[in-house]
This record gives sequence, structure tokens and C-alpha cells, in this order.
Amino acid sequence: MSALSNEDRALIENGVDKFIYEHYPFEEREQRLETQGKFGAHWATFAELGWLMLPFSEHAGGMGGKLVDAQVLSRAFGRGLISEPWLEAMMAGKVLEHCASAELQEQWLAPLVAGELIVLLAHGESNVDLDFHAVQSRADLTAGGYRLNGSKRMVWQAGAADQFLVTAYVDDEPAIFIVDAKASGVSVSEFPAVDGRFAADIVFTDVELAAENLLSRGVRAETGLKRSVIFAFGALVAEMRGIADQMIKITGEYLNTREQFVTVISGFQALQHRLADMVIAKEEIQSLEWICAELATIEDLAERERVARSAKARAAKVGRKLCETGIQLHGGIGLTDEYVASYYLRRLVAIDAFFGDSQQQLLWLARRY
Amino acid sequence: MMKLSPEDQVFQQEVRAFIRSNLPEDIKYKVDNNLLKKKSDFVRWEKILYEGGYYAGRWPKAYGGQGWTVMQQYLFEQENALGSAPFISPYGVNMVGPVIYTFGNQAQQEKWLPPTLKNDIWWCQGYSEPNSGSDLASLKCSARREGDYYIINGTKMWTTEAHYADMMHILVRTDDSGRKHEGISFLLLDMNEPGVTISPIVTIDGLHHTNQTFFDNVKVPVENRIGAEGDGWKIARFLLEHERTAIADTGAKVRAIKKMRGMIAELDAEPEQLVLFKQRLADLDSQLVSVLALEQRLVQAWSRGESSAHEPSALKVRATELQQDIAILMSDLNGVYKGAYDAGRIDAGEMLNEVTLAQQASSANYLYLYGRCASVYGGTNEIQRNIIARSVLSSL
Repeated sequence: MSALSNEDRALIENGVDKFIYEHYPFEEREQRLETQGKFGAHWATFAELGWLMLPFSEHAGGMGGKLVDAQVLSRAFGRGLISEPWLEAMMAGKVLEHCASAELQEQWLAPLVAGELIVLLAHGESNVDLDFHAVQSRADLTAGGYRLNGSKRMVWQAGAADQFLVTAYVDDEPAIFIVDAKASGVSVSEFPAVDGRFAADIVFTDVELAAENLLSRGVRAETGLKRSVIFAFGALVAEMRGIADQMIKITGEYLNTREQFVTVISGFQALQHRLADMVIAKEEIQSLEWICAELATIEDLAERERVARSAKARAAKVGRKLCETGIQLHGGIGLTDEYVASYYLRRLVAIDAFFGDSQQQLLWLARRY
Repeated sequence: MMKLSPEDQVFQQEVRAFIRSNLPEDIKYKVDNNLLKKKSDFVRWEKILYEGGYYAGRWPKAYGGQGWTVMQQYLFEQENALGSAPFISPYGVNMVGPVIYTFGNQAQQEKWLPPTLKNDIWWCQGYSEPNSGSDLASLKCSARREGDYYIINGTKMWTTEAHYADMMHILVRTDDSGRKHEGISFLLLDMNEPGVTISPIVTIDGLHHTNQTFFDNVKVPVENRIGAEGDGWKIARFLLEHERTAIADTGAKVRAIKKMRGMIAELDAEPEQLVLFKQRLADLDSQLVSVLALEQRLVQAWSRGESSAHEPSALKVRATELQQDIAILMSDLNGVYKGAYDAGRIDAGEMLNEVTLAQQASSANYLYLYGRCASVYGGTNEIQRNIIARSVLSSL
């Protein structure tokens, strides 16, 4: 159960809706990127309003919220297409919450939820998934701690990080380290992503780490990673829900105002049916959002993983189609950079790519048959 | 795919050899890597084709063309795409050219056809307007007669490559008293005249292909009107229906399937993933066989002089849907990098010794993003379905 009441949730929802309305009007996107940079300028506000502590246990300095509470934020952030690396930082926070000792949580999670430090998870290599199967990064024992070597691919929002959580093997054991983004031997090469955000490849070359940089190892590290990604998938489904809601709204409004052949085009049944298909997709996504939250507090991690992977794959598939349809119904204007519709599609493509696309999730499901 | 006559086989071999030995390497690189082609790339290649006698294939020889058959034109377009050459920019040679030699007077033909053939004029097309897209006949951009000139006021939307253009062929309203299809005229407008303003439109791929163009008392000499006043709609229909062998752009799709075979062969993925990718590629490949068969059946019918009803619309819908599906698979083949998209790389288009996976993903995502336009431009796929339904229902 969430420590938050429905009233608390409604307050959070009002707050985040107001924030998006005031700070993320799409029309000011270009100007915003210029003045606020790639990763937004509101991290302090995120902290102030409790959005960074929301999904963490009270024990870890959080508000005791659950996925259902985080989804309130995700929906609004999806609508607003925010630049801040909120989800990525929450994933790192979840890893810390699940894996790290109380002492290490005090050291790293507390400043993360206070907005003083941005920690991001650097995990993907030749592949990216909820486990360590593609991890080839290694940390070798040294006199003072460890020496880290490896490379991570396509780490979303990496340029915003003060610290990375890096998955690597110590001997044959999975482990997670915390590594200063400015440490000697860390090189970050950034490139733009399809959703207008940024990602980077990160190479770790003989990075010297102290013993206390090891956060966790063994099953605890593996489970922590998995639980973090499952949480992220539930939040991403909510983000897609926010996008779906908004896409339907703007498409419906457009159909109701655009005139061709001396009539508003919403009168054409062929277009009504395509709008109806968008709504059917949204109903699916909204239901998947709900079921992810519903299962977030059960003990059975295997069942949660099955549902989370399935939900993310399905929502990304029908969500992409929903966005493509919304753009098509707008005609030319939907395909311009100065109108919001294409950004929702671009974000959907990015979400699909994040931690394994639909095909990869379905393959995981198929292997269990 | 289809069987060719011995003469057509010879023609095909000649075109193939010409392209192989004359296509500049930097242009081929852009096509092979799905990078943005610029004006200089198109002009350079089309001038080479012209010099070699492979340009304006369908134009009659009397006007400086090659006098090719429909089949030869089709084979040329296939080979041009398969050889990784840029598609022929249609606005001049394939659109306004045939309009001028069909509807223009001798003075107009002598003035405009030679520079169009030699690519000394870049043409763009001014048809759609902000409130006249699918309903093109409702266009409002006005041409008021004043002595020997028309005075143009209004705006045109989706004027692709207007920022490259010297001239625009434009549909204007010379009369708004009667039915909307009447009162439209076809003019040739000099883009360097005072009062023309080109406002760039950046599209979903983050790049500049198209524009909105504004006209504020722009003067067009009356001698630049093609056909009579009020003939504009008839000419526009002729123009849109004239060039059909290129609507499916299948050569580019064949090239894309081949490229993906190469990508899969080099893919660092688990065996089961590879099987899934191969299965998806096979599905697209079988769709391509079907689209090619539809296209070639139509080309053969046109070669026999038969006209077609709804079939070109069916081809356009299937071809654009296939194009969009091809782009999704090509993007998915980039694994963890499939979310990377660097529009700057696509725009710059430099030849690199080594292409990173993020850059490779950018090329695929460029195909995907810009490919979303394919089901909208040239008559949306919804309009194509209207045409199909109307054609079939009215024939029963």
C-alpha cells in the first residue's frame, strides 16, 4: 500500500499539471532548450515539490509512495515532454534503495532525493535488458578497491549525471558500482536521440575505485537492477498513457476545426473510425498502466516481470500506432517540427527502444513457453 | 522480375552500365547511407544524365527528350534507384516539362524547355494552401489581371525545395465567381520577383525540405500563363496523372531490403533474435514482391495503351505502407542504438571512413521519420481510398 492517500495523490496531480502548464508549453520548446539546456532547469523544483522522493520508502528518506503515485508524475511528464532526467534518476534511486546498505543509501540516495546529486544507471552494452547477460564490463580487485574497465552504450540523459551506477562483473559475480562521472578514465561521448533528448556512450578505462564504491553484488545486485527496470516500465506505460490522452485530445480538436470540402472533417466516418482506433489503443494502455500499479506491491517478482515486459511491449506497439494515426489525421501540419504531434511519436519510438524494444520483450516471453 | 523483350534487356544493361560508371561517389554514398541530398547533388546527377542521353526519357525527341516507351522509363527509374543514384527531382522534368510541351505555345516551349532539360532552372510546385490540401480545388491564392501582368497575392503550403527554386509552377485563382474547379489558372512564377517570401518548414525529421511561400503583389507576365485562363484544373490533373511509373519508388525498396540483409549478416545478436529479424525481413520481402508485381502489371498495361482506374491509388497506398514498415525494421536492426537520431549527421552528409552504430541508426530513423510524410503527400492515403471506393462503386 502506498503511504499516500488519494487526497495526497490529487494534490500531486494538481501540482504537476500546473507545473507542466506553466513551464512546459510546447510553443516555447526551442527557446527553452536554449536558455535551460539539454536537461532542463527545474531540478530544484522537482526536489522542492517532493517529486524526487515520491517513490522511495520513508526509511530511505522518501515519501513512501508507490508506482501508482509515480505514474501521476509520468503521465504529466509525458504530456509535457520534459527534459529533466527524472525517470532515469528514479531508476538509479530504485537500484540504491533495493541494493545499497543503509550507510551507502545515506551517502547517495539521500542527496539524490534532495536534488543535490544526479545519479544515473549505466547498464546497456551490446544489448540492454533487465539482467546481466550482456554485461562484459569488469572490475578487478586492487590493493585499495577495484579497477573498472568496460563500455556502456546509449545511456539516456548521461550528460546530466554527477554519478553513474555501473553494472560490471567482479570475478564471476554481478556487481553494481557507483562511479563519479568526472573520475579519471571515464569518457562520455554524447549524441542526440530520436526524442530530442540526448544519450551517450561511456567508456571506463582503468577507473580506480575505492572499496566503498561497490554498492552491491550477487543476487542482491541482480534483483535490485530488475526491480528498478520493472518500476521504470510501469512508469513508462503511464508516460505513454499521458501521451495517448494528449494525442487524442489534439487530434479530436483538429478534426473538429479543420474544414475541407466545405465541412469539418470530423464528419467523415472514415476519420471517426481512425480516431476510435486511437481511443481503443488508449484504453489498452490505460489498463496496462493500472495493472502494473496493481501488481507493484505483490511479492511475486517473476509475475511482475512478466506483466511489466508484456505491458511495455504492448503499450509501445499500440502507442506508436496511435501516434502515427494521430499525425496522419492531422495531415501535413502533423508532420511539422513546430507542432507537438510528431514529438509524441518521437518519444514513443524512444520509449520502445529503452531497455529492450517490443521484439526483445516478446522474445523473453516466448522463451518461457 | 518480369520478362523483358530483348530490346528492353539491352536498354536495361546500358542504363545500368552508365549509372555504374558515371554516378559520383559522394552522391552514391548519400543514397546508400540515407543522408539528405542537396540541390547540388540532384543538379550534378541530372546534368550527367542529360549529357549521357538518359534524361527526360518520356519527352518526345522533338522537344529534346529521349522518346522512351513507358517500359523504358520504368526500367530507367528502377536502375537509377538500384544503382544508388538519387531519385529524379520531379518538379521540372517530370511535371512542368510535359505540361509546357502539351499545353504551352511555341514561344513558351522555346523559352522554358531547354533550360529545364539542362537543369539550369530549378522548379518547385505551388499547389496546396493552408486551407486547401486534400480539397485542392478550393485554393484561394489570387491572380488579378493588370495590363500585361497578373498580380499574385496569397500563400502556398508544402512548397518542397522552394528554397532551391528559380521558378514555381503555380495554381492560382483568376476567377472566383463560378464553380471552384473553374477559375483556376496555371502560371510560371519567377521566385526572384519582389514580394516572394519563403518561410522554411522543418519537418518531423528535424530537417528543412519544405516551405510555406507567401506572395505579396508578385508580378507574373501574362505570357507565363500556360493554357487559357481557367484551364488550371485540367492541367493540374494532367500533371498529377502524367507521371505514374515513379509512384511506388520500388527500386529504393529493393535497395533497402538488400541493405537490411547486409545489416542482419553483421548483426551482433542472439540466434533467436536473428531468426525473428530474418522472419520480419522475409515478410517485407514478400510484400515487396507483391508491390513489384502490382507495379509491373500496371506498367505493362500502360505499355499496351490501357488506362487504369483505381489501381494507381492501390499501388500508392501499398507502396507507402511498405516503405514505412521497411523503415521500422531498419531502425530496429540497430539494437541498443535504435533510439539514436542525429539530424545534423543526416544534413551534413559527409563521407566517413567509419560509420558508428549511432550514425547508422540515425540514417534508419531518418527513413522512418521522413517516411511518415509518404502517406500524406501526393494525395493522402485516405484520399486514395476515397478514389478506390468511388471508382469501384461507380463501375458496378
